[in-house]
Amino acid sequence: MSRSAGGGPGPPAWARPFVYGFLAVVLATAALGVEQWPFTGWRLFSQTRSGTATGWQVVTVDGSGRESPVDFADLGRGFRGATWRLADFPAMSAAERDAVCRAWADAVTAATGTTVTLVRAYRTRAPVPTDRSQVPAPAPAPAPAPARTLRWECARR
Amino acid sequence: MTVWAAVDRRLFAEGEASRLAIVRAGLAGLLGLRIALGPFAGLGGQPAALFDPPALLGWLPQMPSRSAILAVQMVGVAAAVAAVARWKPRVTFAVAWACLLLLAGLKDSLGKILHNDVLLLLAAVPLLGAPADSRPGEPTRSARFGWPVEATVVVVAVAYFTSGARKLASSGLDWITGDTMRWIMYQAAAGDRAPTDAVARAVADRPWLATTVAAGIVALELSAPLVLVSRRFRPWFAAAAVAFHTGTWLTLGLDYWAWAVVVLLVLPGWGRLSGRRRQPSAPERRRAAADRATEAIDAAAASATTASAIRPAPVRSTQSDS
Repeated sequence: MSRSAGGGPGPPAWARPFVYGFLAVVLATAALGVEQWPFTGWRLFSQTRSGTATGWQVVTVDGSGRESPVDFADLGRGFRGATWRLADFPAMSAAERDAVCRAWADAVTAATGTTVTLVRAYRTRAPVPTDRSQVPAPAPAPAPAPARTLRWECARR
Repeated sequence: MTVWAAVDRRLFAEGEASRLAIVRAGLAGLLGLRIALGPFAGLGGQPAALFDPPALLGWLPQMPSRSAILAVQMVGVAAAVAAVARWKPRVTFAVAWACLLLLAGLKDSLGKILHNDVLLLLAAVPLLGAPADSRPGEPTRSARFGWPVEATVVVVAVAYFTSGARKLASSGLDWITGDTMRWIMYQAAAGDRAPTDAVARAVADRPWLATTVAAGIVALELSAPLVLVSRRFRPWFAAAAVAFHTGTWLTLGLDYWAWAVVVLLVLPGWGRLSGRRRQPSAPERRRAAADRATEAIDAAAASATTASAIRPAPVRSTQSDS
C-alpha cells in the first residue's frame, strides 16, 4: 500500500493503472465514436429529424398470395429487434438472411397457424402525424404521402 | 504543477469512507433493481438465427434459455442485496455487476446498441476495486476511499458531455435551432410509449419551447465537465439531469431512470451530508455521557496511580563538610 501526500494510507499500487486504463478506454471510445458495448460513442438522438418517418414493414405471404403484416410484439421479446436485424441484411449472406426469415415465418406459423410461403420486407416512408396539433406543421412541409418499397423477399425453405 | 499532476491529485485525493460506502450501496441497489425489473427472461427461447450479440458476448452460440436467464437474475439480485448489506461487498458487488453486464448484453443481442444500462455498468467499474472497509456514517478521510467515486464522476462527465458533443458534431447547431426537437416530440406523441402525449405535444406545438428544450439539453450535456472542477456544481447538475430524464420519460417514454439514479448517487457529497445531519440518538447520547464519565474517573485514577508511582524520592540533603 502506498502512502498519500498527507501521510495516511494511499490507494493500492494497482489503482492508478486500473483507473487510468479504464478511463482511457472510456474516453477513446467516446471520442472516436466506437461501439464496443458496453463501451460506446454515446450517440443518443444525435441526428436531425424531419417530418418523414422511415421504417420497416415485414409481411408474410400465404399460399394464396395474401400478405399479412407481422406484429413482432406479439411474437415475444426475442423478436422485438426485427427492424434492427433488417438494417444488417445487406452485410449478411443469403443463407443468413434466409435463416432470419425462416425464424420469423416459423414463429408466425406457430402463433397463428398460417402457412407462410414467403417473407417480404418493405422500407416504409410516412409523414409524422401532427393531426391533433392546433398549429401548422413545422418546415419542411408537406411531408410525403405514406409509401413502401419492397427491399427483401425470402422464400420459406 | 502540470495538468497531468493536477488531474492525478484530483482523482486520487482523499475521500470520505462514508461517501464511498453510500455510493457503493446505492449502485448495488440499483444493479439489483435493474436485474430484477428488466425484461430479460422474455428473451429466452429466441431462435438462434436472430441472436446478434455484442462482441463481448460473442462466445455465446445463442440466447440462453429462459430458466438460465432467470437463474442469473436470481444470483444477481441476491448478490446486490448482499452488497447493500455490506456482506463481502467487493465480491458481491462484482457478482451483481457481472450479472447485469450479461443480462444487458443479452438485451443488446436483439441487434441494436442500447444505452439504458451502459452508464450504470461503466460507472460501477471503479467501484469493483474499492476497499471493502468503508461504512456509512464513518467520518474517516483517506486517499484509499476517494479514487473509486472520483473515477465514477469522470465516467458520468464523459457520458453526458459526449452525448451533447455528438449532437453538435453530427447535426450542428441545427439540432437546436431547427425543427428536430419538434419532430422528435410529434413522433413520440404519435406512439404509445410515453405515459401521456400531452407533454410531447405541448413542446412540439410551440417552436420557441422546442428550441428552448433542445438548447437546454445540449447546455446540460456540455456542462458536464464542470462537475470535475467544481464540487458545488455537482448537486445542481444532478438535479438538472434528473429533471432531464424525467422529461425524457414523460415525452418519449424511454427507460433512462437508471441514469438519473446514477447521477443522484455519485455527484452530491452524500458522505458529508450524512455525517453532518446524523444526530446521536438518546440512548447513544446517554451511552456517550456514561463513557465520558467513566473515562474521566479512569483518567483521575490513572493520574493518581501515576503520581504515586513516580513520586519523587525524598531529597536527601547532603551537607558538605566544609
